[in-house]
Formats: sequence, C-alpha cells, structure tokens
Amino acid sequence: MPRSVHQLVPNLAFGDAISQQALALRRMLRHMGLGSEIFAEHVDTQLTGEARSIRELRGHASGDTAVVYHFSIGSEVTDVYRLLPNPRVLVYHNITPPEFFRGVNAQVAALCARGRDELAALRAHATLALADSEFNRRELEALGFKRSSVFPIVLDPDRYAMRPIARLERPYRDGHVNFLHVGRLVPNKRIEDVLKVFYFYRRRINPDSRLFLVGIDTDMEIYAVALRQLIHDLGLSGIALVGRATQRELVTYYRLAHAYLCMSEHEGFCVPLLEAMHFGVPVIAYSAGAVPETLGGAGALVLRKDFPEIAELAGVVCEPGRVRESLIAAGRERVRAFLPESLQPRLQQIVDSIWP
Amino acid sequence: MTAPASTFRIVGEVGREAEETVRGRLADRYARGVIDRDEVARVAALRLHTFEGNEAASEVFRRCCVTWQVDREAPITSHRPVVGPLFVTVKRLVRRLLRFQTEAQLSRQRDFNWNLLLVLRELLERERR
Repeated sequence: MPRSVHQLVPNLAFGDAISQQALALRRMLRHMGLGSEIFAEHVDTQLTGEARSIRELRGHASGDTAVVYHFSIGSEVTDVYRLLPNPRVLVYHNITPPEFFRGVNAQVAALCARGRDELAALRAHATLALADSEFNRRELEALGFKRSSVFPIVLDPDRYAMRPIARLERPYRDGHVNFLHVGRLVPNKRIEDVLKVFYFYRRRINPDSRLFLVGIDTDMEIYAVALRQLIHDLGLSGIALVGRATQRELVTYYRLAHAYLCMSEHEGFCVPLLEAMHFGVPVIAYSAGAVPETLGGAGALVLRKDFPEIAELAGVVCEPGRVRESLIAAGRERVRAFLPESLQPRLQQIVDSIWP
Repeated sequence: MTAPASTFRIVGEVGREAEETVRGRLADRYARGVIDRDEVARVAALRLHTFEGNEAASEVFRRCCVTWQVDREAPITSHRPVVGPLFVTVKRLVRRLLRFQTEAQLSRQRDFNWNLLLVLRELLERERR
C-alpha cells in the first residue's frame, strides 16, 4: 500500500497562514509521490473542495498513513488527533501568550491558555514535532518534546503572481511614501507602536506619506477601537484601515508599499515579512520572537523602540540609495530559502524520519 | 565618550552608513527644534485605552465595538461555480446604486455610535472603579 501523509487543521481559511502552509505542503507531498489530503473541521466557502471532513479521517487508520496536525490554539480537533492510531506529527505554529489579550478579549485569552495546556499534554502523542521557527522549536523543547525539528513556512510565488488592481492602485501612485503593515489587528503586533513611528515620520519628516493597515479585527474589536482612538488623540491622518483584503488587493498593497513596518512583540514566524521581501519591499521590524530568524539579516532589525529614530530610519530606507537597494536585494535573496524547491529536500528528510 | 547603542541593525557596510545618516539627521532635527523631547516623551507614554472591566461587561462592550461601524460593508462573495460571479456583480451594482441614498445617514449614525462607544466605556469603567 502506498504511503500517505495527511494533514489535520481546525480551520481551512482563505488567506490564513496555517491554511496556506497546509495547501503548500499538500502540493509538495504529492510531488514526492505520496498520497496527501487535508482534513478540517471548518472550511471557508472559497476553499470548498480543498479539504475533507474530519469524520472521514477515521477511515485512514493505518501505519502507512501519517497524520500531520497543525496546532496553534485550543481546539476540539486536538482530541481527534490524540486518539489516532497513525504515526503522528505535530506542527506547532505558536500560541500567543494570553497576557497580550488582557483588556481586549477574555475568551481568546482563555483559548490561548487552553492551547498551551493542550500542547504540553501532546508530548506523548507525537512521533515527531515540527515548528515553523527555531523560536517555536525551543518552546516545544522546553515543554519536553523529545524529537523536534524546524520546517519553515513555504512561500509559494504562484499565489502572488497576479496583476495589481488598477483602480485601487491609481489614487495612491501620487508620489507619497506608502508604509505597510499586514496582519490581524491583535495586541501582540503592537500596531500602536507602528502608529507612533508613522506619527514622527509624517509630522516631522515627510507629510506626503500614508500608512496602510491591512488586516481584520475579528474578536479584537476593543483593540481596534482603542487604535482608532489613539489615531484621533495623535491627530494623525494619512492612515488607511483597510480591513480584510482579497489576494489581489493584498498584492496591490505590497506593490504600492515603499517600506514594511513591523513592531510586533510576539511572532512565531511572521509571514508578511517574507511577502514584503518577495515584493522587493524593504522591511523595518522590531526584534522579537522569530522575527530575527525570519528576516535572516535581510532587513532593518529594530533593537529599541525609539520612535523618532525609527522614523528617521524609515526615511533613509524609503529614499533611493545604497541602503534601500541593499535591503531590497538582501530580501529577494532571503526569500529563496523559503521557496518550495528549496524546502523539498528538507521535507523529504522529515518524511523519511517518520518511517525510519 | 562612546556613542549610544544603536536603535537598529542592518547587516554590512550599508548598516554603518544608515546608522550615521540616521544619527546625523536626527541630531539636526533636535537641534533645529523640529522634534522636541517633550513631544517624544508624550507620544511614547501614550497607552491604548482598552477595557479592564469584568468579563461580562467586557463582552457587552466588545459586541458594541463589533457593530458601531454601520457603514462598514461586508464583502460580497459567492461559492456558486457558474452563476456566482453574476450574482456578485449584480449585488455590487445594487449596492453602488443605493449608496448615495444611505451614505449621509450612515455616516451620521457612525459618528453618533463612535461617541457613544467612548462614553459607554467610560461609564462601565467608572462603575468598575
């Protein structure tokens, strides 16, 4: 019987990093000649047909079928995974520490706390544990996972190979400097600090500038309201709270951006950094969590949150010159390490280690 | 006297170039009074006004935060394979046609909701205190 590596995710959602990783892995596994399906509890309407129901997974109980569980937050799916008789691989995408959600959403904080407890209890239920980054892997090791390894997020360039939306792009091609932040409006991303950097840039360096904040605020509405109030208190204009963006809209914003700003204080990987580098957008990012690893020296790594100085740095990065060109070139080189063809041999090694 | 530790790091020769440029420009802006230290301290000290109430009140407030923006348009999508794109186009057209009639009212309602939201948070927090 041919071997298979199936994947289990609580949600298969459009635009979600974990879902994209599952889809990319499925392509790579099939390319290796293995059977590979995705099983999910909930599937976005845009991804109907891409995943099968979790109930169907019971029919695949076999030693020749490994199950990879993408774990990121407390979920009922963990119980399904725990009871599987198959060889099992846990992929840890990190759980945001619950403290970040204090004063924003108690239920999400509780889910994160539950997720961390569930993760610890999964020690005995993984033939192998994988993490997106060394930062995540160290968390697994600290929890007592015996066999752990790193397999990063795959950047599939085909997802971004599309033309930008002309009617969206046109009004912003006006000579202004465009800054970009992509990601859900969540407290650990410290979007208030992105606003403070932008405040000094726009007020004291270049008023012809704007900031795009692309990302949804689902479950984080209190945080989003607090951000709006901060924008008001700072008397700041030039900010576009874009909200949800389609893939083509996202591509358009990356193409419009002169620099990517990230002030996050907790990241298990941070996919938008890769996306920015892929589009030739220089990255300015605070050194926290897995950010230095993901950047791999290919961006401006912020070590201390001195807002006027970061704004000044943003000015230097956005103007034509050696600094900008060097960051763009380094970013383009860096993303090559995350392309499917670069990661295929590593995936083969991992699959081989499931059945030694 | 040693130079203060840098705020950022860029790998290679350009990193040193960037550091020198940033430091020089920033010193110049401070010297010319374009940026003043009081403003820097004030902005750095600004904290987000989240909600420190009990769980039930917090959930009530969160729900208000979900719905205050009455003019926020939900995305129009369809999962139907053939007729779906047509439905989406028609719905978008209808929305565009009706927008001019609803825009002003929704905008007023949105402003009202926003102010009410801030008052509500203040009241809930006062009650907690």
